[in-house]
Order: sequence, then C-alpha cells, then structure tokens
Amino acid sequence: MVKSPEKVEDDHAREAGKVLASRQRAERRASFEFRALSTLPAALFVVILIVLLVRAWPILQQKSLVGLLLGDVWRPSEGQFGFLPFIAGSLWVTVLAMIFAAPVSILCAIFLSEYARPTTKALIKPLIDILAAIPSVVYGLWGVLVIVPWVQQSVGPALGRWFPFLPLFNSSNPTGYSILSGALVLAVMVVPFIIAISYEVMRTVPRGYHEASLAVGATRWQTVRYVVFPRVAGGLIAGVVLGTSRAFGETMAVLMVVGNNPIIPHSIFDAAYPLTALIANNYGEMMSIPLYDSALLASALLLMLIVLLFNVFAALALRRATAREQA
Amino acid sequence: MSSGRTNSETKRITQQVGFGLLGFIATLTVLPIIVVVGYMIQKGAPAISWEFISGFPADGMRAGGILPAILGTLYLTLGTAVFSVPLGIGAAIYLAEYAPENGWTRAIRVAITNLAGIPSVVYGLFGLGIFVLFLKLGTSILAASLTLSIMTLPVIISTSEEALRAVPNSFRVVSTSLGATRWQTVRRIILPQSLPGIITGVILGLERAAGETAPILFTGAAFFLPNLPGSPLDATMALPYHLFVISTQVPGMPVQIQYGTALVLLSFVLVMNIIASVIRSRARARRLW
Repeated sequence: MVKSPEKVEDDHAREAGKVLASRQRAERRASFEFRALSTLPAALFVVILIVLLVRAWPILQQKSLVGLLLGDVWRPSEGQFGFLPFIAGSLWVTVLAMIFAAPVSILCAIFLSEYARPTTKALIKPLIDILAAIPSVVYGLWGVLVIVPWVQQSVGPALGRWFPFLPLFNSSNPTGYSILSGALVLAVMVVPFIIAISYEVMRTVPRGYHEASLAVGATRWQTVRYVVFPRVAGGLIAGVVLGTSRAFGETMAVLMVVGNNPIIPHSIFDAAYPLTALIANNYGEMMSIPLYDSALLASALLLMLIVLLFNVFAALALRRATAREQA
Repeated sequence: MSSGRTNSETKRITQQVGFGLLGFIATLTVLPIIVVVGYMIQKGAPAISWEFISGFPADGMRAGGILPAILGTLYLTLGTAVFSVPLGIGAAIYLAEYAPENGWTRAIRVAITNLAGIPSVVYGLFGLGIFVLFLKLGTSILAASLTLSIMTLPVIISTSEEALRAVPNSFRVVSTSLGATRWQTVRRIILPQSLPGIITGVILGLERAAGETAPILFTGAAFFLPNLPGSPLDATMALPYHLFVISTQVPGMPVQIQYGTALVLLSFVLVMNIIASVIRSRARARRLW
C-alpha cells in the first residue's frame, strides 16, 4: 500500500515532534542535573558552618563570649577555656610573616610583569606555581631541620646581644621553636602565593595605559610609578589580605616549628600556640573532659570566621579594583 | 639644566636604579626559596633506593621503606578524584553554560569562593564530624577521600569554569544555529574544546589534595600500619602525614630518611605539575581558536 502524500507528511511531523520532545527532555534533565551539581558544593559551605556552630553551641551557651575571647588561661581540666593565647599566637605569627613576605612579593610581581624579559617570565611563572604547590609539611620539615637551629644558635643570641633594650627581641625561651621560626617558614610559603595573585592583578591594567604614557614621553619607570601602580594599588592590597588569610589558616608547617605553648607571647623568640595548631594537636585527646570537644569546635568556628572576614574583604576590594578597570 | 644633567639623563638613571632595585629584590625573594627546594632535593637524593620505595618501615620508622605511605597517598588521591571530578566539572558546566545571572547564582558563587578559603584543619574537623562519626565510615580511606574532595572541589570548579568560558562564543552560536540543543552543544563542542584546560585544573586540584596533612589527620591517616589497607574502609598511611610524624614525633630519626620522604612527596607534586603543564602547552598549540 502506498501512503498518500499527506500521510507521509503526518508521519514526518510526528517523528519530528518525538525527536523534539526527547531533545527537550534531555535538555531539561541536563539543566536540572547541573544545577543540582553546582548547588551541592555551595550547600556544603553552609553545612560546614552549621555543623561547627551546632557542635560549638554547648560552650557558647555556658561561657560568655567575652570570657572565651579575652580569657588568657587555658586549663580545660579545670573548666577554663581562654582563647586569647591562641588568637595572640596566630596574630603574632601571621603579622610577622606578612611583614617579611608582603612587600617583597609585591615588588617581585611588579618587576616580573613590567620589566622582566619574556623569557624570564616564561621561566619564572611556572616555577612560582610549583613553589606554591609544595606541601606544607615539606616546608615544615625544612623549618625543623634548618630554621629552628638557625634561630636558636645564631639569630636569637645575636639580636639579644645587639638590642638588649628591646623587649621584642628578649626571651627566656632557648629552644628556637618560636614565633620567628614560624613566621619565617610561613613567609617562604606565602611568597609564591602573593606573587601569583599580584601578578594577575598587574595584568588587569590594559596595554593602552602603558602605550599612552610612553607616547607622551614618560619612561617605563615613570609609567610604572605614576600610571600603573596607582591603578593596581587596591588590587595589590586585596592580594595581600588573601595571603594573610591563607597564612592565618595554615596549620602543619607552623605547628611544627612554633613551640606550641599556650602563653601570650611578648617577644619574637617566645613560643606561641596558633589556633590552627590548637585544633590539630588536641582533637581526639582528653575528650572525656567536659566541654573540651565543644571548645575546640568553637575555636575552629572562630578561625573560620576570621578567615572569612579576610576573604570577603579581599573579594570586595578585588571586585572594586577590577570593576574600575573595566569602566 | 643647572646641574649639568639633561632631564632625559636623570630620567634614564632613575629608571635604571628603580628597575635595578626591583630586580635585585625579586632575585633575593625567589632565589632563596628555589635554593631551599634544591637543598632538600640534594639532601634527599641519597636516601632514595629501590628498598626505600618498595619496603615497609622498620625499627620504629627509623629504617626500611615507605611503600605503605606512597600507596596510601595514591589511594587517597584516586579516591578524591572519584568524588570531586564529576561533581566539580558538573558544577562548572552549570555555572559557565546554564546559570542565569541572578541572585541565586551569585549566592552559589560566593559560597563556593568561601569554601575555597576555609583552613584545611577545619575541613579535617568537619570530615571527622560528618563522615567518620555521623555516617560511621570510621577513620578510613573513604572518609579521608571525601574530606579531601570537599577541599578540592572549589579548585576544580573555578579552573574548569575558566576553561569552559575560554571557548569562544562563536562556537556556541554556530552550534545552536545548526539546530543543536544547549546540552548537545556542551557535550559535543564545548567540553571537547575545553578538556585540556579542565584536566589541567583537575590535576592541580588533586596535587594539592595529595600534599595535605591536616584534613586527613582525624579522618583516615594512621601513624603506622603493619599491613597495606585492604578496603576503602581501612585507615591508611599517607606520605604527608608520615613526613609529619617522622619529623616531629619520632626521636632519633635519621635525617636522611626525613629528607628522602620529603623528596618522594615533592616528586609526587612535581610530576603532577609537569603533566599538567605538558597537557596545557600541547593543547595551546593545537586549539582551533
């Protein structure tokens, strides 16, 4: 039997309709699945916050927040949970590390992006990526074997002898496991990170700015100082803040060299006990002590909130910096 | 010019001094770090031998090899890949190709960015609470891999999204104008084109996971095990944790073994990094745009 032309057209149309419907179904399913896939990691962030909050809740309920944050006595077996020594320890190590690392990293990035030959750039850039990827325990080992003895035998005695009047350089801690050691190791770790970010920030300046500046007779140095630098200053600061947050949250390398003594330090040769080290060293031990588990989770929550604050600030500053460039 | 120097000469000298100083600082900053790494490689090299790579630790880790730690890190890296790669790439596809620019998408982005900023030790605590205790997986390869996956996800998502966005828009326009649906366009055109970039991002993410200690501290790493793990529910030794242990908690540890272990861990990371850059440069030479 031969189909009439109308029948054939009907068949074709039906066929096409089926194909279209199945395409649409596949399309909707793909869209839905991908949406679910992207919601999950985002939801994880919220879940982490909630889990920390719930498990830190018992101690937050029983102790006053001020008492926890400003208490300087840490004797869990007597029910005293003061976080101040740990907050102070984290701050000392981080700030000192950033003093070592931030200025040189930024200058290094400026040199790389504005002056270095293309071959130098092609060589240095991957190297910095590799340095940034080196596991923190490797830096920690170097700290234990090289930096700590150096601080103990050379730097400590020398600075104590030259500046006996500066309390910053005096300490009764003779071990070398100190804030200075922690900050040195940490500085070496964040340098590649800050260089990488600063380099990206430098690249947001359009070529046209350089060309315009050079065209009116400025030298490359003047171009960098008066045209490029003012444009990227905000972004560079944001990069440093990101580096600070990275340094603040760094755990293993610092923990290995910083001495881990819960006191409020007064000298760069004192031992300190950063928040991250508190968690890593103590979790799983002495869990029978009431509120101990909760106290450690509260310190994790505190750590996370501080780091978040840094990150949000950096993200806003970076966005403002890049938005101005695009405008 | 009363000083006898022309203006352009002064400018030239300022420039030379300025850039000279910058170059000096740059050298002083980067060189020592490279020296540190070179020093560790040089110190570790004599420890590397077939016995060291294929043997079990002996004499309280002070002798013998590190095979269980090497295998453990391989297992953990593979386990992390199983969970984080499909999820990460899927999320990146949504964000790059499907997501409308609205508040919801922005919220997701902010959450993912912040996920990337969480300190690694906090991931460890979270993994302990959720995977080890709540889901009762115990301290195991599975729990540690899941914890590392959460940490790796943001890296994979952001690098994959960047790779997807790098495919020129004309590819999408042409594909759609030929009658392909969006999903067909993604699967047949965009994904193949961005695959090298995505693989590079995945490797960089996994490389970070392989070197992390803090997240596996409470979730799956063991101090010492006489046997290799038999299932994903067993705990395992791992290179970074092993290095941590032998450099802080074992008195009288031979320095050579410490440097040797560090070198093996370093090579792990270096090899992954080199593979990533080879893929990247080959793809760059071959790409269509």
